Amino acid sequence: MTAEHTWRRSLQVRVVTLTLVVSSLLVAVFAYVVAYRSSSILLERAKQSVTAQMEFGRGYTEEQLAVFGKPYEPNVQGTLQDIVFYLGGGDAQDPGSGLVVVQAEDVVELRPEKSRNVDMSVVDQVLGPDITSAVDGGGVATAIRSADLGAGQAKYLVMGTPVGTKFGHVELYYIEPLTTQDSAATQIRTTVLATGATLVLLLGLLAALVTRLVVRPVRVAARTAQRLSAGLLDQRMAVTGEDDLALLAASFNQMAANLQRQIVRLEDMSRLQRRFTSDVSHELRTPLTTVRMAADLIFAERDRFPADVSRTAEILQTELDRFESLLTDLLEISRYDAGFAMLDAEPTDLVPLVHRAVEPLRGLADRCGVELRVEVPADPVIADVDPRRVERILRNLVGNAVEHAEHRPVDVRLVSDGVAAAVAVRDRGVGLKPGEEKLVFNRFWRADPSRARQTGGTGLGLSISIEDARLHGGWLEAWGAPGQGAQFRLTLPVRAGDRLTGSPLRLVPDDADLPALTPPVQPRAIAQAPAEVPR
Amino acid sequence: MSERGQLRRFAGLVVASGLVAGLVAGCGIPDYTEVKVDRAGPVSGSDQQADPELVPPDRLAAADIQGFVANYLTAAAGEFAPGGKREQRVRDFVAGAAPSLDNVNVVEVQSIVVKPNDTDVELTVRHLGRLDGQGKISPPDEGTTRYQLQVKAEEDGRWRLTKVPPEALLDFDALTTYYTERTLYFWNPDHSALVPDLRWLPREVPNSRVPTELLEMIEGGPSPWLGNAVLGLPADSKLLTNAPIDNDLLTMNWSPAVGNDEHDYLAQQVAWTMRGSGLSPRWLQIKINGQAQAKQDVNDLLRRTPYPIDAEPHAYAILDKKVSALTEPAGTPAPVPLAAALNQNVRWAAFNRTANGYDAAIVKGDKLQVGSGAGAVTELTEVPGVAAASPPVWLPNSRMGLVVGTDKRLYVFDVDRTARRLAPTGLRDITAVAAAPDGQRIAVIAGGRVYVLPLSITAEGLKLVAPRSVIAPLRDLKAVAWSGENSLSIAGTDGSERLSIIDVTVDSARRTPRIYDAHGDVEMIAAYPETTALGRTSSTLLYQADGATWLALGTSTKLGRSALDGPAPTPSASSDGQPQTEPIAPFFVY
Repeated sequence: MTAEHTWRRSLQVRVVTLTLVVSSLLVAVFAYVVAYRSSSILLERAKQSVTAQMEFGRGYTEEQLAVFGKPYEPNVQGTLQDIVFYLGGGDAQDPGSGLVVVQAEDVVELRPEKSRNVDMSVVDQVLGPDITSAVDGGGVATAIRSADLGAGQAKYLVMGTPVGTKFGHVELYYIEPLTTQDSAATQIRTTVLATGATLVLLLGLLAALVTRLVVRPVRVAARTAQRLSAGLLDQRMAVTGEDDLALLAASFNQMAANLQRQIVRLEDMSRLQRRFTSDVSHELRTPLTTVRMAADLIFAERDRFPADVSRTAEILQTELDRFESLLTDLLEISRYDAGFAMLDAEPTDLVPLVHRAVEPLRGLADRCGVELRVEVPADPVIADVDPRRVERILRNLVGNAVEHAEHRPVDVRLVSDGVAAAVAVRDRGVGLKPGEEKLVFNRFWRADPSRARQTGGTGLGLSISIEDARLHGGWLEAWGAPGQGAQFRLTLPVRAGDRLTGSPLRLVPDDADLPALTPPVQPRAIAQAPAEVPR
Repeated sequence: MSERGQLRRFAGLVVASGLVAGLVAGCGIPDYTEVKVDRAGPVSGSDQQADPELVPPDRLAAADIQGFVANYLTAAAGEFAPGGKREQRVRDFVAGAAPSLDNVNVVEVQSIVVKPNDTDVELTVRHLGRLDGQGKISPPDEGTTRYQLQVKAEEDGRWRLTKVPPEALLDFDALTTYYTERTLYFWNPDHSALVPDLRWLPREVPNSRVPTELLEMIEGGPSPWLGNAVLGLPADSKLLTNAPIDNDLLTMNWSPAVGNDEHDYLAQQVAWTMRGSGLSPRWLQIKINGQAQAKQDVNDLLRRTPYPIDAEPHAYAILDKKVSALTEPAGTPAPVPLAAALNQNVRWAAFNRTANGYDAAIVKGDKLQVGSGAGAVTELTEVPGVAAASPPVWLPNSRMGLVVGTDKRLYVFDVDRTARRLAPTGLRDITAVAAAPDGQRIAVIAGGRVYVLPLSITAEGLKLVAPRSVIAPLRDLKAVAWSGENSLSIAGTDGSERLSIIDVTVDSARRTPRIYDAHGDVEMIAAYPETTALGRTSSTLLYQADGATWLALGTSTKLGRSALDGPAPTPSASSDGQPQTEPIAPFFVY
């Protein structure tokens, strides 16, 4: 519905429409009053004029008929003829003129007389029984009738009066055309209508102009605000004059300037921080390499050293490994922060990938007494992914699971529904407390800082993993419950660039004992935020 | 919510546009409205009950054939209107074709003889004149005096005429029963006098319509017998509408041909006509083609009109050959307007009131003497060439008089002592002359018959118009006088051999006996005429018979010496030794 759409969208259309409707109503009422009043005044004038004529005519007729005592006296009919001839005036035969009729319905000797030659049946039709009976009843009666009395169909004012005579009831009728009054009334009506219509149109135009004057700056402001919100922070409104709109524009501009300043400052600070991290990592790498080479030398020659020194050399080697991987993770993170991370996607079968990620950890699992179970489909699961990053995610997840498994088995499942592929890693360790499923992805977060480290994780693994998942357009979510372990689920679109709508695997495992406080069906702990990345 | 809001807005829009269209289309002058009664109008009266006295009896009224025929002779009385009640009534009497009713012959019925077969009727009449739609009665042109009628019995026990006279007949008694005399006035050519013209208007005409009828008669012009003695209205003058009297105001609407009436001639003529018919509007208003002129006071118009009769008459008689004033029968006695030195040997005398005095015409022996004077006539001069054989009469206003000579010819004389013999067409053996009160008509007895003659008095002098015979039921006529504007008092012998005086209208249609008991032959009559327009509805008549003066008032009353003004003069011996005891030769000065 474009009209409804336009109505809802355009203030101008609404204002103009309302102005048109309201002014039409007002003008109509005004026009009605003017036209009604003028036509009733015209009619009243005509009535007065005819009444005066008729009063004169009645007096004249009475005077003329007063000489007769009986209707059969000679020349009564002739006198009636003379009366209508005289009262009808000189232009009696002009078809547009009025008509004077005198008749005596109750007196059989007398025929009706009329002032000009009009078919009597037409006259009888004009002087319908309603008028004649009113006059016959002794009243002076008035009515308007339409008829053709020789000059085409026209409106006539019909007035009748009884005439007092000595010999019976005589009625005098004036049938006067209202042609002049009618055309005057029509002219007035047309004029008023034309004026009113013009007025309404002008008012509409005026309303359109005025609203346009007000709406245009508002529209400009809206567009500017839209651009501003889209990140074009240097958008400003033009300030003209000193009115309210100028004030709006000035305030808007001030707001935009403040916002821009803040954002720029924050961006600068953020960039500075990331540079710092990156720089520190790089700067540490060179001395670390030197230290590493020295440490490798010492480690290689440790047998030649006393036992305690040899032990120290081993510890040094281990901590350097940790330091190096920490530095690597920091560099990786700083790449993400700097926005330099690039996805190197290629069609990859996820089944061997899962295996590749799990197998190196079997040693660790055995050491921890953890059974590592992998469940993959028989068919290959091909997806456009960066295998290095996905392998890193899975290794990270499985490592974490083994670490927290508390000697219970860890399950790894791969499922695909053709649109999305999901890998769930389930452990049955201490689990996560409510709310921790969001915190686990924070940098350097630990569930229990006092707990001894066995794998020597850097605390950045999950942070990097979630960035990797996001880089694929996928999700990485966590579920956990105290005493029931945890499950992490990675969901990736099969085709790169597709948008995820769901996952083929449930986040909450089937064997989870759900307490009264049921987690939401789809507790997408993290996934909401990265759904859409501003361009 | 938003959807409903939309709907509401849309509905609002529709309602608004509908309202606009409705409002705009709704106003304006409507095609049709209900009848609205503003107020009550006037109420019509009903005047339907007809006065049976005013219309003649119909066919069914008579109980015998004679009465039926007599009723037929009245049936033609009424208004001359084609297809009117009168025509219907007459047609009802006749089984076949009814006679034309355009003119009606006024007859004096002498006998209706029903033959024994009850079918044939012999009708004997005497024609008096012919009545037309204008109420005029012109001299008769029918000689037939005997008509054979046939009647047949109808199933309703009454009769119808199967054979009727070819012309319509009207009994002259019916004329006086169903008609009213109306007097129109017409101006003489120099507008110095209004001349009465007698008309007959049916009684059935309601009073309200009488003015209209009279004005239409004026429009129709004067009676032909008045000839060029009078003026009608200008040609094409027409009364356009009815002329009602409303609130004492007579309104009449004339066509422009009537002229602008700057001398109020028409107004005066109408004022006199109305008063002459006993109508008394206080005001009259002339409209010319609907344009109203000023209202005029009728009394004022009457006063301004020259009319020769003064409101107060003075009666005189001659006693011992001297003019003496009478205290009876009317007015107050006035001094004799003749110097005492001249008041000798008077046989007949006549005076004419002038603007500042009197004209006198005195007959001494057979010598006619005239003179003028203010207050009283002090000098008399004999008019040569005239030997007077009748009392002289003055024509009021014109300072001319008339007298019958011993040669039985008519002479006109004036105050300048000139006399001229007149030769009225076809009249011989004139024995008496009388002047009408308007001074424009005279009556004479010639060859034993009475004639009326209009006079045309112009700057060239007096001319006689053709005489009209007046039919009176008398023979052996002795004297005549004008007892009214339209009637003569004629003295003669009636059918019963009585010496009578009868008043007859100038058209012979009405006869009113005055006295049947004249004491001897009437030698002369003096009358102070009635003038309805001036409010005088009866006349006073004196006559001389048997050497004395009599007052004719139902019966004759002798006016003796006691009726003379002043101390009764002592009887003086006449030449033959017999004392002359009574005043004679009475006359009025008015």
